[in-house]
Amino acid sequence: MTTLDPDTLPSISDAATHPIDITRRPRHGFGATLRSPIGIAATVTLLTLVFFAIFGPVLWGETAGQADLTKLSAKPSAEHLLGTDAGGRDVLARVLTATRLSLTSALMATAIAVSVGVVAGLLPIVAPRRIANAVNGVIGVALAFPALLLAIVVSIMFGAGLVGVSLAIGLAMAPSYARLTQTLGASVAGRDFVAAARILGAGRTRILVKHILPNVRDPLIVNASIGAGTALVAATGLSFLGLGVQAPRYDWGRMLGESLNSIYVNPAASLGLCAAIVLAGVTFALTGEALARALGVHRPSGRRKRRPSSAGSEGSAVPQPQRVVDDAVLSVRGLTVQAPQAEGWTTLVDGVSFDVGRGEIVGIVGESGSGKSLTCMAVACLLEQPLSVSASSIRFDDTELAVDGHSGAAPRGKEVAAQLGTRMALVFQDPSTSLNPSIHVGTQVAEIGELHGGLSRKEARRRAIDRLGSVRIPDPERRAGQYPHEFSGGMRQRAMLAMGLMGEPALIIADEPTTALDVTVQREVLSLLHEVNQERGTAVMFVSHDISLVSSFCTRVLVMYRGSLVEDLTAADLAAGRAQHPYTRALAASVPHMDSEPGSEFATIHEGAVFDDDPAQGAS
Amino acid sequence: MTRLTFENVWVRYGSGRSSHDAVRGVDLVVPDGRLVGLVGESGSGKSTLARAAVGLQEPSRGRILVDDVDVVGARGKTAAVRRQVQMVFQDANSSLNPRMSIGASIEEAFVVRGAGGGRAGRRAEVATLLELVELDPARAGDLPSQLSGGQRQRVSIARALAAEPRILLADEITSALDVSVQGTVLNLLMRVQRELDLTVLFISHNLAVVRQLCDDVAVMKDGEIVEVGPAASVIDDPQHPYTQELIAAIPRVGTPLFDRGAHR
Repeated sequence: MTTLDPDTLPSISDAATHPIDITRRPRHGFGATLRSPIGIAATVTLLTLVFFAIFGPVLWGETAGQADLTKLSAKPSAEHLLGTDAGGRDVLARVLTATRLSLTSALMATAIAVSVGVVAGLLPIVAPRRIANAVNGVIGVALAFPALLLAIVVSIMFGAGLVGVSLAIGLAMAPSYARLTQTLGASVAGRDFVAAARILGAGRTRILVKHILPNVRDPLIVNASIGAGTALVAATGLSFLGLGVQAPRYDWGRMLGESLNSIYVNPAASLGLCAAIVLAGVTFALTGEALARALGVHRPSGRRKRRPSSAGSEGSAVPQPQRVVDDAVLSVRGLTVQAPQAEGWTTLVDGVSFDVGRGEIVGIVGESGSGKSLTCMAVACLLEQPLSVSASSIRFDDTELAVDGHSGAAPRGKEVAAQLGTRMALVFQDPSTSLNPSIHVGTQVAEIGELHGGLSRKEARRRAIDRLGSVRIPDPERRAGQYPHEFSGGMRQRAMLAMGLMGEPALIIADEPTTALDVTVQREVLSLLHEVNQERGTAVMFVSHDISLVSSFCTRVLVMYRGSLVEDLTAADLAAGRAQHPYTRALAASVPHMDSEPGSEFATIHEGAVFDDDPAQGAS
Repeated sequence: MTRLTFENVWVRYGSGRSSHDAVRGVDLVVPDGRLVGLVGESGSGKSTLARAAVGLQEPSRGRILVDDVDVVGARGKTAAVRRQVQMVFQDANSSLNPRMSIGASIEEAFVVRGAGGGRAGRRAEVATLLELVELDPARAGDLPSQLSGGQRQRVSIARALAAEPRILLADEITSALDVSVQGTVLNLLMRVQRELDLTVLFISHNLAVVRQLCDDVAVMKDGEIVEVGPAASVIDDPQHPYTQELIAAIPRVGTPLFDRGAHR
């Protein structure tokens, strides 16, 4: 008997319902990031930079000031590794000494940019509307103004020198931080927890400090780190132009300007400076990347793990489903889906076997994380790395989809792709994301005919309009020229179905197709699915969390629980209370009925309940 | 005695030609200590009505009364009256601050009110509330991400209760939850309502839940209330054609949605 820790369930369930997001782990943590290649690179370069910034002037400051008038603009030698400058001073010592000043101006500029930006960006969220509009206007105009031009103008206003350069670059970069903060802040401000705090009576300042800032902090830190690299290059540029620090002080930019005069005499000086600037820039970028990884700001690319050994395909007998159908359009045997974890693999779908007969409507019911959607996606060959899909056999319409015990979106033959494209149709839960918002609905429907049906553009369009009409979209000719946003939710779902009907599907996989819809619209969409099933004999695999819906729409029901298929029974048996497996019974009992006693307690399934103690039911 | 009354409430989104009335002249009384269900399909204006009652959305016309105090545009003393109306949201993922421990989220109501008697006192209050919603007080330091969906929704209820409300608005609080977890949250709401004698407006699209949980029900369509009455009698014997259509569309175990082979 295996017991899952209930606390680990949310993460598994999230992964299962959103398989595409599986690589987006919330945070890698600083420890793990430090051990990754990018973390090591960032740490090493950053420590080097910090070392030279702190000790550079102490260790080499004196050497850097000594002029050897016998060796002006000398080439590199053992004594002067990068040669000497026009004043006969050692270039290498000066490059190392200048690290501190160069970094100081970059960091000061970044600090100014971030502080001004964050304040200006958050002000519109808390200030009265009129002030907010004014601030937004100023940010907009400032963003439209070229940043470098702004920096030059500001540095002329403040005069040359360290402070002038830092202010100039800081103020020039501030508008983009302001816009970033504003965008991040506005999205957080629209969340329900901010609304809840307002209802509790929390003031604007409290909402800003306690609720908004902590939730926009991470992306800002990452951007600041990457931005410091930009600031460094900009500060170097201004110094190069002579607007930066003035003699006798020097930074990399000023030195680069001077070294250009003798670039043909001693190119090593310029190259050494460039290397220093590039190294510093790369360091900031690497640090930003490492921070992003540690804070989980954006998706790490991550290395691919080796697949786990395919389950069930090595010599062992082919697993059999609880109910074998003679004329099956789909036969799945031993389907297993696994996701990589920090250590090893988690099994999300565990050796599932079932048949779908021609013309049958089979429901798959289960709660979030039960693996029902993953099962469908695996059958449609839509699961990608890093998920691993294995099966003894997935036979669809006389084509074997599992190759060497593995299946997935791996490149396969054109014929198989065409087979899937024309004989299998898919309808997903959210019709607003499954249609491309920028392409006319008719064009998207027609595309399937061109792609898989070998139709000409004109024929495909004609058929698309015909199919849109057959899914009861009124005035299909005009509607075909509209965008998805001009369709209601129910109509979009029907358009998805029309897309599926461009071929001659033997199977429609409908994954929670009506969950986002109202009950009256749900009925329309289901009636259409039912009509297609009745008139064309198309089999339907219908996935839902709603056991009443599944039992009233389907002929047969597969019940999934924590990755396993625990029961395969007819809808009539389910309705008559003849379910065998304790989980099926508990699930059926927990659905509120229209004839329950008003005011009575709701039936529940205890959170820690374990149902796999009945081996007779095949719940492995 | 605390009663929530909507008097000819209109809520308009946008302005000029693109404006749209989400709520159109709603009159509704949520009587003291009663559980009233508000049902309707998406876009019917039921959430907007609730948001207007807590001040998240300003009505363009009409009055919203807590007992006899109009809380529309409440400031100062009336704002304190409006704070007696609290709301629990649909998605606990979004209604709890991911960077704040659940204890701190609940405690916020005491901090904002300056109540609870010092830090230790507030901690004790938080522990009591966590126990009330059947969560281990030792988990006060946990972040929302460490909790399951059902547990998070219980924390949301505890946070609303921390404000010592007389009226609770529950906006689709179980529609993001699995059916096996839904029951726990609904039973909790039922128990808390009885123990604290709360007035509750329960917004839902699930008529079976409303029928079992609520005393009364109001059916909303296109921003208007089309039918009000005792929950069981309205749902078992709907009078308005829209209510009838709504109820007919609900799938029931054992009743095939469509006759096999008898389509059209």
